Amino acid sequence: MSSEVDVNKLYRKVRGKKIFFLFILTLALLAITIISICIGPISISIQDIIKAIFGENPDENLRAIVLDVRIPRVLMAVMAGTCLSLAGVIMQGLLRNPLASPYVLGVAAGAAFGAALAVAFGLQFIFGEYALFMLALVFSLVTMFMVYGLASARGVETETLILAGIAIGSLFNALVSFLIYVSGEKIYGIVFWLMGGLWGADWEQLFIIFPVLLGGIVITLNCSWDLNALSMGDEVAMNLGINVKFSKIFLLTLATLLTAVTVSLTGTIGFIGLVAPHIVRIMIGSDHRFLLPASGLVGAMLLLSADTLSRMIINPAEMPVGIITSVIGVPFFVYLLMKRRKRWWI
Amino acid sequence: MVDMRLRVKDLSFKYSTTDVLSGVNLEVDEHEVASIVGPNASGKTTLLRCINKVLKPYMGTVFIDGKAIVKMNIKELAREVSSVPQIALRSFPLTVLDVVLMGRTPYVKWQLTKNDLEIAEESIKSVGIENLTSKYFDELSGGEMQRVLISKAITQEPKVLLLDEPTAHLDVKNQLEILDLIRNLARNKDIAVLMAIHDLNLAARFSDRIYMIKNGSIFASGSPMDVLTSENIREVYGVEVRTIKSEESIHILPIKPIRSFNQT
Repeated sequence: MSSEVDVNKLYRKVRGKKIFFLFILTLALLAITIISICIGPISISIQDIIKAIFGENPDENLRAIVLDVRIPRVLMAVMAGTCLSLAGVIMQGLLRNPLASPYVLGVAAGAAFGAALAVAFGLQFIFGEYALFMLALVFSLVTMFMVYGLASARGVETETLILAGIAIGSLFNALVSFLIYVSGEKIYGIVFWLMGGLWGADWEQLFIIFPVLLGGIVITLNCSWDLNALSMGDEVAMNLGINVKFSKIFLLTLATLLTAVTVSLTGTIGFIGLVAPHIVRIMIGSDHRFLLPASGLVGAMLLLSADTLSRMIINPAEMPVGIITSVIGVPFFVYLLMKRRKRWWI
Repeated sequence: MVDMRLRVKDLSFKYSTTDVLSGVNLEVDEHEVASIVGPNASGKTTLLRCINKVLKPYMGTVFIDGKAIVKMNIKELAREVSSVPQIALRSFPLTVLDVVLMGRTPYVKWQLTKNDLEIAEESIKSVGIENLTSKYFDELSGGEMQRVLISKAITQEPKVLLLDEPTAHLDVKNQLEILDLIRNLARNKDIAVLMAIHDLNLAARFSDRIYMIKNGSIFASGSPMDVLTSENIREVYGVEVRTIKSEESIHILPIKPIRSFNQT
């Protein structure tokens, strides 16, 4: 019982390890990013990439591939993966439920309905390619407000939120099925969108998602202590001086926005937002000051690796990335769960 | 007049139309341990929740050192009052150190200072959980968890500490140790302790003052000897008891429930 304890030393040691972990993740992400730019239907060496971007007389074809196709796509994978993971961490922490994901409030189903609506009525041909994005975004936000509306009747309790999310989500899923059923071949494209993919990535999309991601990172990191307290329960958080009602609605809105924007651009890419936070929890624990950035990095890595694989497997065609994330992610996740040692790394 | 550390004045609370607490008056001074006793659903937990502002009373005021808590925002209140709730906590993997340091939430912005860490260390030592700091909170035994939660509450540097059934689910030795710990913390750290507790024998032994609640009103208050009489217990609980006075405390032996007893 009388063992000595030096909290200062212990705290610094643990924090040092976690910072080192973040550093390793950053390096790994950088490495995967570079490899992913090189890999594709045409393999490009790193020297050629540098030449294509900065060179005096670049090969125009190569330059177009690198700058207009590869780099936007890779960056999109990184940003979308980060957004989904941050949203996943927030949802799991707030709802105190390990099964919670960015989609738990039915946001994806709402987005899918918006996209299906755009395709079914051929709105892209009338209003341009962003009609789909806009409708998807609008309907995911509509879903969010419907879920809040239902849940706030009972004081925004966790269980009510989850149930309302499932209910509204099912409603929109049914509507999507209806649209697919009545629209025939015209809506074939929506099936691809539903599977999720990054083939639409271009600089315009990056300019949409980047500010959302940046804001998301800054705000969530600032809310780390709130999230720590809230993940212990509403009453504990209140006793620690957190304005629970405000924090909850604020953070849920933020997570929904992160998800909605991502999903509207990429379709529903499953699994990343659920699994990335868990991988990090198992490795370095649940202190949100480290859990948030580490999950963002892991999510980015997962989605980027999966997307790169999806471009390689049936080269030159590609598989929807959602299939890959599940096929690779599930066994890895199950392995970690079976191993069950929480002291996995730290 | 010098203000009491904690003073509850004419407090009433109701859930929609049902009165839960009516006209409760209560005082606890620093160094003191006060217990709220009473049957199930008599309003013990509700009273604690009104003091830490989880619930809002519709009448009456709670004062800390003479300052009304309605005038404090929730962060200010968290620096004055900390609570150890009754609910069994399920959480994601957090180490004991993480949980204890959480007690600094009302004070920190982002980075923990050296001062924060010193306060946590002091609290860990005073509660005697030095050997648990690197363990995972959700893998601890009931007694260990209770100690960690008390340590977290003390790390908050409160003037008032509220505990809801601190001995629930603990074995006899742990019950005695936890209550002894709580009393020592009250004495050594100038804290006013108010706890809701079911076990009348433990309440008698570790409290300076007892408030006996019946149907949301204080039925009797004072020293354990004065409050825990067989007449009071019969009136409030509807149970016939025998009381035995010893050197250190008063002991209550339940005999049988009274058949004709009507809770209202």
